[in-house]
Amino acid sequence: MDKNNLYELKEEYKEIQIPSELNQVVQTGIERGRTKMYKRSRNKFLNICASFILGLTLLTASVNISPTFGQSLEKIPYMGKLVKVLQFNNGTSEGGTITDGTDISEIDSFEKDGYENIVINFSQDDMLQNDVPAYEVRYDENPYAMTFEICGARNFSAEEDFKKILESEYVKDIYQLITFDDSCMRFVIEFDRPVEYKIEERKDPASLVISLKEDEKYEEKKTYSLRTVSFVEGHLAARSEETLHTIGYESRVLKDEDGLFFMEIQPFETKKEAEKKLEELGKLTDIEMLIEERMGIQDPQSYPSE
Amino acid sequence: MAIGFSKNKLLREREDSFLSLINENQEKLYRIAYSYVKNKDDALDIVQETVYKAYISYHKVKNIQYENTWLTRILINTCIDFIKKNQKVVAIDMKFIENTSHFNNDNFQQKVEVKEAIDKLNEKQKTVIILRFFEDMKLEEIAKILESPVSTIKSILYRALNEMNITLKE
Repeated sequence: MDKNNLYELKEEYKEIQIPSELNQVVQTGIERGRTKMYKRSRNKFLNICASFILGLTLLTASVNISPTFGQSLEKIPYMGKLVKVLQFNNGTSEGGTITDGTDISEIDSFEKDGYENIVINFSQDDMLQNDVPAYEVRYDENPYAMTFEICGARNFSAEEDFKKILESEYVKDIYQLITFDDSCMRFVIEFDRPVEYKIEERKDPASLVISLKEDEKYEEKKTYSLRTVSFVEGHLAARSEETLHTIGYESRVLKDEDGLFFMEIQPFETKKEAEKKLEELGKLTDIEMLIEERMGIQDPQSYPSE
Repeated sequence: MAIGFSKNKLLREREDSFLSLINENQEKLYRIAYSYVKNKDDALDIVQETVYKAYISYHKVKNIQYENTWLTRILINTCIDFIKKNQKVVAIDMKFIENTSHFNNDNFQQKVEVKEAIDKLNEKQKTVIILRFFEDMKLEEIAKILESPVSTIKSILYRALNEMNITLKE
């Protein structure tokens, strides 16, 4: 035997499948820890309870006395306890809890530790919600964009904040997408350069925190997008998306250079691969598709539908 | 811009940094646990126990740069405790068997032999082999995890490699 045999086994080790329950199991471990720590600190807690009540009284008094202090609290984006840092698999990730009647109530941005952060808050009946609703997020390149799908969301008050987010350092555009599922809301954040990203899910109150930094090491590469023509009405792009979904293709909807919507499936590295897929799709659907060469932040071209 | 925190900021930061630590390492923890016990359910139990133990003693970690080492140490101790408690009962996942079945035949026999050889090692030797060859750790890191001098780790490693050699020649 030589050491190479061991290195060969390493490949197998790296391929050990991570079960989907892992996150849940870790969460249970943390909850057990929290309960234990809570019990430990309960006695200590009772001792300091009196001083806490005193502090609370003072805080309430100061909020009531000073209107500016009261106002400043309202404008703060709320970040709750960290639930998890999203792990991305092929550019996609998901999380959250099943809820309904959510309002995506506020989006705000702030800078911290060299990261540009975007916080998204969720509410129910004008109160901040405890858990983030079930969501999916994916990051794609050429152009660099993140697409969010929030389930159980019925309202999007945060749309008013879009202008504010456009001032954020890396954000090129932010817009809502049409979806045929009336219990889902989708939106896209486009970036003006390749970014390193980290997303945290937080609870009590619910928030998604996206931390962004320029990805300086990223090397831009040319890709070939297989896309539809551009539609003035977003629902036409969403309809092609749904048709492709039924035959097993993942896709995304984007805005082109003129602000019209189109749908595209995953980018291909070579024109040949894209052409092959185009031919395959031609046999399966009657959606008119075309191939577009693209690189970096270059705006997708507009091919208005007739 | 300020960020709203509803609890003690220090406690919250500590909790956040703990959760980041766990999130970044959970897959690694699972893989190491799985290589000890070779089945999903036990590996998940071990990960849960590790996270629990780590949570309740995280405030004792003074030097944040060693928190990864500290976490891995807890995991390995939990694995060894688990194996001692459940000695002679080895539940192997069907997946583990399937995992091994896609190799071509020449390689397959050799790999099974290496695996058997690893299984025959004692727990400390097995730990050093997993961390050194599968997790690509440096001997210094392994020494910190196992709280032993580097020279001891080296001799454990060489003895393990030696024993595996002997086992294979038999």
